[in-house]
Amino acid sequence: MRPALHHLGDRSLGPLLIAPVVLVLGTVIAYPLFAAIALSAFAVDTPTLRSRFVGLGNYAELLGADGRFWPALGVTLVWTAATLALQIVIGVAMALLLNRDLWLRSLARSLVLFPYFVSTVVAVLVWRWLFNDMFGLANQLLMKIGVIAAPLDWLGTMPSALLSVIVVGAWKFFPFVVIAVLARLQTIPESLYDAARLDGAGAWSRFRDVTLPQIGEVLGIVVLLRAIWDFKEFDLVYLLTGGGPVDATRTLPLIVYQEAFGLNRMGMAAAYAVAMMITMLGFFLLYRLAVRGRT
Amino acid sequence: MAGIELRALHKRFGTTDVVRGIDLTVPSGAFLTLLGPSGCGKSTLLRMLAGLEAPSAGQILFDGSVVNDIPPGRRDIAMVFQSYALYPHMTVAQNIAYPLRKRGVPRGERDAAVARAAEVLQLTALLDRRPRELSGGQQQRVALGRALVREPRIFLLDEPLSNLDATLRSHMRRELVALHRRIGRTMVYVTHDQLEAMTMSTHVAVIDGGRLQQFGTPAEVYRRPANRMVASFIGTPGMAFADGMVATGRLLLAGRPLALIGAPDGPVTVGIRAEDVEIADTGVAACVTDMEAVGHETLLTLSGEFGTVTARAPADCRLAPGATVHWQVRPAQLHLFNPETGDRRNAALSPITSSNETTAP
Amino acid sequence: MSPRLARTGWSLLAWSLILLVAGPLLWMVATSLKSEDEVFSLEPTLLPVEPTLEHYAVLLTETAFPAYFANSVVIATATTTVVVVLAVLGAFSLARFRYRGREAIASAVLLCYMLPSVVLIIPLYLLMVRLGLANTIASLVIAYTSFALPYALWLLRTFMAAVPVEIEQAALIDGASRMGAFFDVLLPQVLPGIISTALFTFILAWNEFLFALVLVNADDVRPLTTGVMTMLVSGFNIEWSLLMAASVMMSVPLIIILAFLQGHLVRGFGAGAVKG
Repeated sequence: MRPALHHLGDRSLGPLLIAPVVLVLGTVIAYPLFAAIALSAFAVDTPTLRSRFVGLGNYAELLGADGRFWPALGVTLVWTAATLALQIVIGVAMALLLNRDLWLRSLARSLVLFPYFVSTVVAVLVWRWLFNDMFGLANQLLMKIGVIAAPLDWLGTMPSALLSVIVVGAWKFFPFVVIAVLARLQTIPESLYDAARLDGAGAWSRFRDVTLPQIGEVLGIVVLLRAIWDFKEFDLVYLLTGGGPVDATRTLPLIVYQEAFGLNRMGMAAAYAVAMMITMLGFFLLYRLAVRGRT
Repeated sequence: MAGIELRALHKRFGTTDVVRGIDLTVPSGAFLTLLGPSGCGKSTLLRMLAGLEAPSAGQILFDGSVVNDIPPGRRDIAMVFQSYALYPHMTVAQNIAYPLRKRGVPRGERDAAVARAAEVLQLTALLDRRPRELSGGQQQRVALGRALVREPRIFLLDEPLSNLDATLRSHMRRELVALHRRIGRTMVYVTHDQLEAMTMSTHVAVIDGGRLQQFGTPAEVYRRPANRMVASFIGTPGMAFADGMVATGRLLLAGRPLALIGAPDGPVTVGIRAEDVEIADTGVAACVTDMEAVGHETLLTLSGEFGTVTARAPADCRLAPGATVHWQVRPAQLHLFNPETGDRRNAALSPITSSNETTAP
Repeated sequence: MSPRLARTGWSLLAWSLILLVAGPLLWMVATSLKSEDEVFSLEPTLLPVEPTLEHYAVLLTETAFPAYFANSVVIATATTTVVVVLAVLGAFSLARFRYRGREAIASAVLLCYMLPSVVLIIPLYLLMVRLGLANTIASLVIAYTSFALPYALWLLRTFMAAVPVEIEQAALIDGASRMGAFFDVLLPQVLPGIISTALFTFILAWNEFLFALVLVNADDVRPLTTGVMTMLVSGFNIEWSLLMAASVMMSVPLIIILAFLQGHLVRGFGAGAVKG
């Protein structure tokens, strides 16, 4: 292989090396993406795959009075905003704590990562066991200390179902914030803190004037990434509540799945998926504008 | 061994021309220094010689044959990078052996060659170390060893001494000169340090703005700078310049005659080197505005109606800033330049001998 | 307050929070070791009174768990191999060559990384059905490549960009070909990055749920994620201790990676997620 490649200049070797990637991504991403957009203009019956062109009919229906787009968007935004806020607060606090000189610090850092890397299936099974109405630890503990009198159906009633999803989401994903922020914290030179100390800054103002500006940029990226990922999260919500009770925790990705494989309306599902993508793009552009406006 | 010839060599990155048409011929066995300020295109030129960049136009010839389309590995060259570019995961021995390995040299021969190169560069004790365990000077020697081991026809060196401390740098300068003398191969050396260029090379090519400003021996470049850029870039302290005027066969500075000159009337730029300025009892009156003791001598900045010049004085010079002195310069040592183009102007200069014109220095 | 006392205070605070975070997972392990009676007790104990491995024995001998596990190993290993090979070559191209469309490809890759899987899942499902690949391991390997490859490319490109280009140029001058310099010099330098990428890809593939749910509906190819969920819903009454044992077993590769290769994982994070 080497002698053959030797005769090719840079000009053809570079494109040649990226070609397999382009081919694969074209097949598994670009083609499905455009196919999804095209599919959204049809009414498709999943089992028979028989289809009929409806133009923008699917969109009209999902955005209309009987459509579920707007309520689902509301649920998605509540879930995203709440779980993201928790992830950031817990994540930053934990990162600051783990940046200190602690007993068995590296073990502590390892353990904190576990929820993030463990499969969502495992995480959900554990939490569903904790939330079990009769024998779950959550109810038993809360009853013992007298917060609740009777067992609570955590995942089957509102608002506890949405609250549970948000809390489990925060638990599962906050380590991402910890790793990113901790990595940045470790690069802040100690001399900055020494200088602040000489200038008479207390603990709080050292955090506000030294730490916060230093981790600001990383936090911006982390917020963006986590917002995107939380918005499109399927596994955790689907496995925890399946969207219930009724549609109370049914976020947009769950609607797409339900339309396609539960209600057998593939075209409608594609329309929901495309609408969701456009919404994400809109929020992304808003974010860019906000960031640019500030700097 | 190989001579190098460049024909109208040109390199453009996007919309910027980095090298703008360079013609140059260097004999085999020369030590050529490409000298110029940073960003002048000298490194790009070297990288084109190496084959790491393709010329946008023009030709590169080694020993009379065009090498433009020959990949770096087949040009029979070796290169020492400014960052040394040692292979971090290989030992010193493996680093030095790599070029031989790539050429299919059998193991036994390879080991012998590595041992020889290590011997020459005093690396024998370090052969099993990895680059990060070496000091800067040692890494530098390994990079040299990797270049030496193959006995290529041309050595390319890209500011190889710039990361070393001052003592080691002057030591390595002498080592490189000795090495060049011993092996007699063509060497092309890139630097922005005119001292390195002056002390090491047989040929200097001064480059600025992507163009060849002057090509010659170090002495030629120093004594007869082709233009103002070369004149100001070479020599420490730098050459002083003043606006002069030629009128009726006399060179005037600030309206006063300085020398007789065989040139047509008009404005001219006069360049004066510090070592040509003599402190004397008579001559141009000037005020000492600054003094810089550099150990073996003291550099005086003299300001007067002729402008500002630098002069060298003995280390035990008793002057103090603010003092008034007189200085002289022999007319033959003045450099003249065209004030518009900056090009050197050659003209016969001689002292004004008439006794009533006492201001002539 | 003395520094020593401060350290004790902060350590106690940190460790109680860590135990809270790890609590659910510790409870998972504890439950998996309890007998059925103990699990369904109204007076739960933190540690099993009589630890038993019976659930693990049942899991490994009487359920489809070993088959799911084997499927997951095959799928994750195959995905990792495909993704790492493609990404190493592709990242080399993106990091070291100049050609038209390079930046467009790089941006497209980043965009792919943000794309929601649910958008792709329907056409991919239709594609797999049409190609006759539905219910095969291959369908999952192909689908997993869609989300693992962009990340891997981005990660490796960052790692390669951090290696000074001079050492490859030195190798070119020393007589290596472009690919020779890549294998001799660049690849050894980015080995840690390749390990990070491989670990990330493996974990992503090991944990994936949605594609497995949609593309595979047969026990002989089902991976652990959907397989274990099937065990949850198929039983007449839910055997929590068995499920907890399955969860523990399923997490074993992650425990191994986190215990021994944590540094690689964290490095991958820094390079890909934060700098990207």
